Amino acid sequence: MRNKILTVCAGICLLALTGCEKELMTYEGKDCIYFDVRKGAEWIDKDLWSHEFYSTVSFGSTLDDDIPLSLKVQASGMPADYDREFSVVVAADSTELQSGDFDGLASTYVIKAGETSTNIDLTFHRTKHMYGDTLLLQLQLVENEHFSLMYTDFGKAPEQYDPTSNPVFDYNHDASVHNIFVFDVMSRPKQWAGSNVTGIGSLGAFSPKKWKLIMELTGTTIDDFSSAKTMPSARMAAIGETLARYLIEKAIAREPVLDEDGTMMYCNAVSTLGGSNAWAPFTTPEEYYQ
Amino acid sequence: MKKKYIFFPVIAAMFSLSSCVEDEGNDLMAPINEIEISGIEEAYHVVTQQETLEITPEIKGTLSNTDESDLEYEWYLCDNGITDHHHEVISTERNLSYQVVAAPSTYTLYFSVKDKVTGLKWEKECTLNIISPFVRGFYLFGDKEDETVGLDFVSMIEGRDIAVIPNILNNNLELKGAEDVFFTGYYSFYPDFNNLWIVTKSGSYQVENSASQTSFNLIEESGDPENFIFPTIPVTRPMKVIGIWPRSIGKTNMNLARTSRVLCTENEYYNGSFYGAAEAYGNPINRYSASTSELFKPSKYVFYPGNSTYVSGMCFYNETENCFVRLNSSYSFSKYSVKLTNDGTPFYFDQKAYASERSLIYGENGYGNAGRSYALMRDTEDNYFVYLFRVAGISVLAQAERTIDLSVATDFASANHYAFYSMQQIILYAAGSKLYAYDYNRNENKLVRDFGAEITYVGMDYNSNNDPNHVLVATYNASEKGTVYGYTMTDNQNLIEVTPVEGEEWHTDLKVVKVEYRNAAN
Repeated sequence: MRNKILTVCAGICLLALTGCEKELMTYEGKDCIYFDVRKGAEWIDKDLWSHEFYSTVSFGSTLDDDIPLSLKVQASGMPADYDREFSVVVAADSTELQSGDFDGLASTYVIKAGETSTNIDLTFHRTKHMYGDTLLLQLQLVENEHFSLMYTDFGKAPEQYDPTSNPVFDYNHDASVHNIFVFDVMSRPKQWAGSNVTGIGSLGAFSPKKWKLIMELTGTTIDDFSSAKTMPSARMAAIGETLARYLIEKAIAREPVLDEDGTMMYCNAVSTLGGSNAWAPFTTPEEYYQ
Repeated sequence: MKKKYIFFPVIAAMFSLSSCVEDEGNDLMAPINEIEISGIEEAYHVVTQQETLEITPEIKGTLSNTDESDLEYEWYLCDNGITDHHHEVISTERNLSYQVVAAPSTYTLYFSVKDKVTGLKWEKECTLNIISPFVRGFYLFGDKEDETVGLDFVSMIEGRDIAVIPNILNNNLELKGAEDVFFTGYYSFYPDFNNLWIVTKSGSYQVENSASQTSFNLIEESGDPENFIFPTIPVTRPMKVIGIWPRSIGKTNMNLARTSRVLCTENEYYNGSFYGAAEAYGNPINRYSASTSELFKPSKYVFYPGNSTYVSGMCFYNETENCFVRLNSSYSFSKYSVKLTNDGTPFYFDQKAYASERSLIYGENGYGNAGRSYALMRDTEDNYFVYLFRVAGISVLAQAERTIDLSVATDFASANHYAFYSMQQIILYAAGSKLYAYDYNRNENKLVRDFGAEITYVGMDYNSNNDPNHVLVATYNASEKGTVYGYTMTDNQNLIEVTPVEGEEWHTDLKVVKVEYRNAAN
């Protein structure tokens, strides 16, 4: 009887302990390597930043001739206790950039012992053939003895922010490949007083050529044109005066400044300051000098 | 033996049942001392930084043996904030004596009594309306004894005595050399355009001016002219803002420069029309063509009808060429200035037309005589003249010229402060400690008072009480420091009468260079 009671008590205790132990399965096989380019606001936890399927390098929004770009490469699995090399190659068939358009790409990179990621740091240079065009640089990770390339259809983690959506650029979800789109297209800034249809306004019709000339003449920057605080209408009117004085001076010297459409560059102050030397929007040099 | 083996499981079973027993307590009750608070009114109205709130509450306990040494007290203010709620303890004494320093607002004032024996608290609340002393009054701007600038405020609250609140400016830059203070006036729909500026030897600075504050800081970043003046032609830098026009009008202090204004720096003037956009300026307009970069040096005086609530045109003075100029169109849209020309009747706008060239010494816009403007001129032979004229849109009508008879106007040549009385042809002027009033129409002069202290400011004040006869005079000496006096002129063309206004003598530590009216609710 005594043994039976003790057996029952022991059995109850054993049953109570069974929930405390789990058998964990350890990871087996090669780690995976992939591009993990992230983007997000500084105030957001970086783990929640969006995983971006492409990167852009825009020379149209800066006057700088060199733009750096850093691409994070992430390894899955646990950190290793030794350095792990990998390489990245330019996918020649799909890449439109030429030598001299960028530098900084090494033949091999290393994920150091104890770490799970590294960065590929590139510098892009403004070159003539970029102007007005969008060119692609496609980088491809290479499988080796340390890493496989399994993430060919990368998804979004549940709590992560959504990646930047762009129907033209975001088509590649293979994380062993990263597309970099490089373009030099100056688009109309937020602050620009002028109509592209009628050509009138303090700054007249927008063109990248006119914008660059304005910045050269007045010492303004692309950033200045990004808000009403830094580019109020009064400032645009003053800039228009300076632009007009230059255009009129050039026209009188028979060296007219032509806009991208071949007509004489124009803003309102050309009319108000030009007097008999003034011209209307979209006037061709032939019409002006006849 | 069998019972022994059963003992352990039975004990275990009993433990497992222990949670089923509830402690239901008992119904034994003991009386506690309940506190009743009275003697606190439903609402109080006090002026911050000026008044002390005194409340002596009555406290009664329901038990006869209430010992007040067993009680703890706390008076605290609740700002009634919804998203950012704050309590501020202002006293832990039984009777409140609170020298009010909290920002103007409507608070709930709580009086909390805690019985230390039982730990129970009782509260009584009331409304505390803390009033700003900075809504209406005069800014006094000047130098302190240590040579840094200071700002005092003569607070004028209906139903209360006028009081001077000293040192309201947080001069963290230790600015020195007070030159001017100006307030644009008030317009509730455009609060960003209600600006207070001080001008010192080293530059100009915007100053916070909200009546809900209790001290006022310099606005360094947004007040920097480089952040809102964007010329593309060369101008004098650093830019020092010395005036915004038109100035406010009337007792309500209406801001006439709320959507369009002319801003003067030491060497340029700019105009702008904003209407919902931020204050910003392009190229200066003190030039004769929008296509030139050649600028003339403007004087600091700007002329327009001082009685008008709608100003469309302005007149300036070109110090480079000694001539009066106007804007090419309405003041908000002008791009350049135009030289005024006339046949010299009754005076020339172009001062080079005189054999002895004249220059502008002082200018002012009056209220009386349809907002007539005045210019005090001096020629190369040190003769003085007064020009009376009226700006009407883009026209400037020369009305009269008078000569100052220096044999009658004692000390006029050494005067350094002037004020034109706009109801009659009288100029007030100060030389040293003496204040004179000279009728340049009847050529009669009167010594108003020798203050025995240096006169540091004389100015007409036709706004604060809509009274064109009101004059303010400031004096300073080392022993008594600054004093501001109010005077009233008698509006009689045959009489010079300047009388002190009872109760208008305000003392300050400042050597006052300017007295500026303010009436702004926010």
